[in-house]
Amino acid sequence: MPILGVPLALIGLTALPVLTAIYWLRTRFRRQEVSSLFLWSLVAQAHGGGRRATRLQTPLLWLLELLALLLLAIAAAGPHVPRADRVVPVVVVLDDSFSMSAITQDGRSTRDAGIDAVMQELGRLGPFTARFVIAGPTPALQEGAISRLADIESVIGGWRCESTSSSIGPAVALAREVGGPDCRVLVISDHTSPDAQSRDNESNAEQEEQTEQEATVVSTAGPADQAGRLRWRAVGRTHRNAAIVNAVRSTDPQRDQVLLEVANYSDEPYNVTLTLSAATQIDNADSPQSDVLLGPARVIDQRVLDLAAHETRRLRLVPPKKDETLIAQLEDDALAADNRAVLLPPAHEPLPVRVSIKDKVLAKAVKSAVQASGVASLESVDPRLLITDRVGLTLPSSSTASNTTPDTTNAVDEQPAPIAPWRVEFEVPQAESIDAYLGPFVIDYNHPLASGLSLTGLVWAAPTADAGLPAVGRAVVSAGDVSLITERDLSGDARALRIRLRADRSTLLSSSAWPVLIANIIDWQRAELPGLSRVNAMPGMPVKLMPTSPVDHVEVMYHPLSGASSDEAARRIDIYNNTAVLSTDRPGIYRVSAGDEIYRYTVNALSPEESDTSQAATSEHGLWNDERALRTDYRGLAWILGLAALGLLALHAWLQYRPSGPSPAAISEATA
Amino acid sequence: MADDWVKPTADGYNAGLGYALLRPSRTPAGMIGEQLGSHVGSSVEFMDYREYTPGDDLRRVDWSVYGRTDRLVVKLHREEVTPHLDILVDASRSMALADSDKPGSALGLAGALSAAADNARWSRRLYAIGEQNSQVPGGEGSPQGWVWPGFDSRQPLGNTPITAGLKLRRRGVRVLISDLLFDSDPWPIVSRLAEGASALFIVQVLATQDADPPWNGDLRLVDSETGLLREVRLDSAARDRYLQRLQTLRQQWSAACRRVDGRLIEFIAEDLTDGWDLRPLVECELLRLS
Repeated sequence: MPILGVPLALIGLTALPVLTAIYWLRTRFRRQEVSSLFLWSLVAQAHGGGRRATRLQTPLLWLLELLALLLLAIAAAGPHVPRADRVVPVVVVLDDSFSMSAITQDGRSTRDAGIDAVMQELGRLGPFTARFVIAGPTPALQEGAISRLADIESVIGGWRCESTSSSIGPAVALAREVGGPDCRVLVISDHTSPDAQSRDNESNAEQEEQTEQEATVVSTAGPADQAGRLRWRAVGRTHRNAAIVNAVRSTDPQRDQVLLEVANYSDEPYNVTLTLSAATQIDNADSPQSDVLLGPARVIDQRVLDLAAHETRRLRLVPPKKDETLIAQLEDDALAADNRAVLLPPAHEPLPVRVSIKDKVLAKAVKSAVQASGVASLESVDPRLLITDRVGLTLPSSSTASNTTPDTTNAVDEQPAPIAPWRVEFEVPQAESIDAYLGPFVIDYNHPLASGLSLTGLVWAAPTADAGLPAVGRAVVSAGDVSLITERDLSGDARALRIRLRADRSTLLSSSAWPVLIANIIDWQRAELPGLSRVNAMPGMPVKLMPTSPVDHVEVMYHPLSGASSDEAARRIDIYNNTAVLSTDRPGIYRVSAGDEIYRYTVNALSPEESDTSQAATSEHGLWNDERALRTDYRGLAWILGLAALGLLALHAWLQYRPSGPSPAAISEATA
Repeated sequence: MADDWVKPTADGYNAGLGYALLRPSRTPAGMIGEQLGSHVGSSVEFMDYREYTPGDDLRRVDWSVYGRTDRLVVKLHREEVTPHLDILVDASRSMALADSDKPGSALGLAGALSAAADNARWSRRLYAIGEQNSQVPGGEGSPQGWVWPGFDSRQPLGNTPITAGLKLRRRGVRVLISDLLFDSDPWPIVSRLAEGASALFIVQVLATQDADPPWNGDLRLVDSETGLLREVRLDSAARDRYLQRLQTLRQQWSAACRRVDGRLIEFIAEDLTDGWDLRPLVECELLRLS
């Protein structure tokens, strides 16, 4: 505890100069005229006589008083010394984001600085036992614990600093869980703690507001806000860095396009060279453990991007061949991880969708939303998804696919309805039996259709509760007791959605919820298709794989973005519900073996937050010790210091009032 | 005379009006055996014999007694006393110590002695003893007519012959008024003053702060005569040492006076001017009630 933070200690420290001032004032020389000096010749002469400025005299009594005051001030601060038998448990949380791999001009990385900080902090503790948690997108506890600094490299081999994000908060929670109530937590990152940042942001706020905000922060229990035993070492530095922050390749092979975004995160203009290459995939199904994934790359474009400070440039490119892998590479800078992006060719054909709606307005809106999804195409033959305003079409089966008849009188199209495994039925009510609902809308957000869907402020015209067709299936969106969207399984892999909507009386079509709803429908259907859900995955968005052949697990082999070999072992991922969920936490190219089938997907280091090192800082926050640590690991010294002060005061009194021997004045003279 | 000293001088003179000088009953030791009467027109009166001691003038040995008794004795004569008073006042700066009554008390004492001399119908002279000794103009008259040169001498009393330049009357009574605070052997001064005098009185006038320094702590002391500085830490031990030194000084002066059959009288200036109690002068047989 800082000594200045203890009022009694502060008062004690203040007393030191006061005591010195008293002695100094007492030792100031007063001018006094005397008849003659010769009688004073035997009286002790003070040092420094005749000078205008005289140095402070140090009589023994003053020294004793000063020392006693100092001891009392230190005792008031509550000093502690470590117990001889203590072993401090520590859990170190290591920021695994790729910004920690930034290289400084002297060739050292932020990770190296982090290791130095760990050794520095652990070295101060005395005997310790340390475990390590790698804070990637999900925290990972490393095996083994160390009690010597020399062993640190043996347990942090998994700290590669390649993740596109770091979950320090959950990592700290895991560290506390693993270490127990007595452990200390050390966080190594290149950013300051959220608590310190919030304090900086609140520095200009009024006191009352500040108090409320602090209360809010405490209640949210952020990682750095939990009191005591958490020390945060930020070891980052700002760097001149250009990065590929977005790389998207369309999933429509017919319209293969690439979108790249290159950002300059420095305060100065940056002329950076962008090289685009194309490479063929080495598709060796017979040797799934092949070391190389990409063939020789050929440069298809190279350009110099003249980026202003903090500018983000967006580029649209058309790959020359739709079956080639496209590689975007920036020239080397401080942060190499975000200089390369690999985009695999799309694996899926667009989802064929047939729209059969008489209402021209509604039909146009549906078609526009389907095309905007980017993963579907409007087809009239063999659609996988039928969107119609006919309600109650029977489902196709393998034997009756061409013999489907409507089961309701509400059919509006005299022509035979198209057949598809999935269908979306718009139930369009008559004008006299509708109500316009303003909400509140009840949305089942556990349903895939509700992902990102918000209907707040919309007007949704639908049949009244006692009108329209009876609702069947699971309600996804409701307004009161009226189901607006329902979903039901049909035989086989077929599924039917019913949307009760009078478009001309609603504002849904002109809102952002409309394309979201259609895109969710398409994505949901696509997710049911065999193969990877996406091949160019965004960091943190899991990739799902539905193998064509029935297998109980898949094996995932990691390769760096360069496509070179990796010495890491393949990871086994079990399959549940015919789906394997694959990680996208680490940038690289992944090859997935599902029986005889080989799939590939890539994860690029696309993270503007990590590429932008302007917020990186070097700082220290938090204290190792709290009240509990002081009780368990330290021995208080206040009583010893108090006794020593009492002893000094007793000596002081004895010197001043003892009956015989040299007087205090004589002692003063002797000291002087 | 400075205005500060007029009143105490007049007060002292008024106090001395109740007294008269007492004719000395003893002869100063330095005069023993000398025949000085021819110079003053008066014969020497035989008084007594005493045993010879080394240092006595062999011419004063009574050889006839030696022949009869085989003992060496010297003849003692009663010196004839001239009814004259020489008052010597220390004019050094230490006598005008700031915040003290030393100058007033010194001149007041001179005034009191003058009044006592007048009452005894003695002649008198007043001298200022300093860098240049001088007779005070108007010193034979009343204090109102004294032209006192001031306490300006930077020369301590013992640095120059105390009687240099002075015409002291032989066989007269001599009184030295000083604080005696100078680092010099008292004997040369005392012996020179006693030479030719029928009686010698040395009056030491000290300020209260001279006799008992009231201060504590660190002091930068300034010599009132030389202006020299000395920084001392004054506490009880230092004060004791100072008083011990002062007592030693007094003993030295007292011893020197005893050698010439003189007397040392001590006054505290502030006490003296408070009531002009002159009884110590009576007790030492310098004054008597008139």
